[in-house]
Amino acid sequence: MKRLAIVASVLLACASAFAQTDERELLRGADFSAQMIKETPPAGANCAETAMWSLRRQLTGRDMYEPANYMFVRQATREIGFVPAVFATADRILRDTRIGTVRAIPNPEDGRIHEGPEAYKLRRAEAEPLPPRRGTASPLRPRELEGGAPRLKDCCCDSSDAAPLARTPASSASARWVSADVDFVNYLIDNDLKQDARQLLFGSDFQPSDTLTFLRGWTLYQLKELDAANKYLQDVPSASAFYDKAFFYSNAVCAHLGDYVSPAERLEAYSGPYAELKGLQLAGLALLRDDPEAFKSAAGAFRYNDFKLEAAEHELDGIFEIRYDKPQKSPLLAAAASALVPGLGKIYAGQIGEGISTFLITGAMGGITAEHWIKDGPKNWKTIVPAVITGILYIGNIYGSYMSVSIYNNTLYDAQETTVLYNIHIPLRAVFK
Amino acid sequence: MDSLEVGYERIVFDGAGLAETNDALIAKAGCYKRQGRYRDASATLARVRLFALTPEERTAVQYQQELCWFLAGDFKQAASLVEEVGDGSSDALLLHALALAYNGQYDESEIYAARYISWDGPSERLPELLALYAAHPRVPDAKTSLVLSFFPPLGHFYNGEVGEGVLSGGLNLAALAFTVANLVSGYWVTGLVGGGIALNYTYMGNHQRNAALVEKRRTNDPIAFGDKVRAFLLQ
Repeated sequence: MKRLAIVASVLLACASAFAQTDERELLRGADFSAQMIKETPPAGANCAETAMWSLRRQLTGRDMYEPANYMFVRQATREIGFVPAVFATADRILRDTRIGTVRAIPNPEDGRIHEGPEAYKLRRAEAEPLPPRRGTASPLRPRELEGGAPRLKDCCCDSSDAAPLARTPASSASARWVSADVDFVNYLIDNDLKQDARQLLFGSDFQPSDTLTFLRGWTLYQLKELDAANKYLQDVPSASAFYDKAFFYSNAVCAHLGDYVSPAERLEAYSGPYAELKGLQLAGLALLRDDPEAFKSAAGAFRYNDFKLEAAEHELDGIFEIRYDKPQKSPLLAAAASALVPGLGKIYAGQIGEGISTFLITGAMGGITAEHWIKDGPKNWKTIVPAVITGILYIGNIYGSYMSVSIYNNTLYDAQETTVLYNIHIPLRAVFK
Repeated sequence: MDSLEVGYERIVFDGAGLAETNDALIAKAGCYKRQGRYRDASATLARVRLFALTPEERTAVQYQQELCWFLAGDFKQAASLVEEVGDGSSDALLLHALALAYNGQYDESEIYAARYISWDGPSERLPELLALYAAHPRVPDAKTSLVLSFFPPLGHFYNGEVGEGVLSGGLNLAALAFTVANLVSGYWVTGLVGGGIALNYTYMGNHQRNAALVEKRRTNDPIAFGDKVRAFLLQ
């Protein structure tokens, strides 16, 4: 009877499904203008920048860097000061060529290199240490011991103030248990019908349960709504059969959200069956916090004999070795090399294309200046103009080489962080399959 | 209670028969369509087992699929269904005319548009329609544009950008004049190196800009023309 009723309702719905909407009206009201290629000056551009935008399109067709050089000057002046902004812009002009950008990795969405004035700021954020554990000797510096260390409630992934029921709608007496729908939810997720899964779990009347909390977190995780997913995953109680999976996934999600402290704290307190996985995530989080001692301590749990974790363990060991066992490149040496031969410091920093581009442009401007110096004398405007340009480019080249080591290190760190995040996350699929 | 679309999906999950599964999927697509989720609606209709439908039902499903692809802005997918849907109704003719026009297939679109306005007999608006299609945008030829861009600003003019062409021509002329003037005056390094760099930017930039303009026209012209056809056919 129930099936018959469903079929009847489906047939009724079928008959009326498309008749309910006036298709002519839909066709009339459709707006496709968003699909057209529109060329507009960058947001916030003034008259001069708009003029430069028009001119630039005729010169190379498009700007490789985002923000474009003519927009960069004003931003850089605001963020790093006028003089550094002038030389940073000169350095950017030297790099913004086909040769200079040959090894650059553009943003896949717009094909441009996203690099703002922050690239010319020297230091990375300092390592974020763990707060002291109760009953253990603290390796922290005095500032943290005085109460400055991040506490759990300060962290973005904190769940202490969020009771599970607060996010669960009140259930009626007719509410059903979600355990009967676990297979259906998995079917929806596996068939890329995640929005339907979300609608089911959040729109239907279910009795509050650990399973419901886990499935909600898991569905939101699949939908890449990490912040919300994390809250549900952390709410899964330790007595639940889903606890270990929810626990390790929530740690990985926290790390993706930029919180490296609270998951490490929770891992330290974990005493479940996945000791090696705990060590892997702790080691990864230590690398993300730039804390070599914590890494060494956590890596003690590596056994290298579980095929699900072995590759990730080796990967983290490799990153540790590159980061802490090999000598760092020197910004001063890069600057000195570029003062001697323009572009050499960039090659030393690993940016070969940028080095060649810098050498060619600075060398060309130097050659033009020398020719006018010889033929017209040093006081002629024909000499002064290229000399000033050459000077700015030359100093920009030295400044850029000094900074490029910092940029190189930042890029290296960013790539390593991506690898670490990958390696504390992806093995979970195999472990909890 | 499940929401409607989840309820229909549950019928599919529960292993209903072919007919029930198809009904559920069609009804689910209808839900998506009413919510404006046209891409989801098309994807759901693509899961319908067409072999289990009668020819009329199959045409109706594919018509809805074409409509949803069109409303989702995927004109290529919509145009690919024209043959399957056929021309059994004026609604289908209208949709085909629009899908093909927005996809840049102007000649095919014109035939369907003419048949649509003549559905109830000869139409007085036919000459107006023919005049509209006679002025359809020319599909830009990338090779012609490339060849003309060797002689700036002809490539820009070909692509209908007169103002940009004048600017590009002026820049190229200035770079060439700078090079020649320096060489004639005996400034060999400035002429060859400086002029070379300047011409590299202006001349090669001109090539790149022309390629971008062709791409822009290929994207924008069919949409602009499709809007005109739509306004004409739906007035």
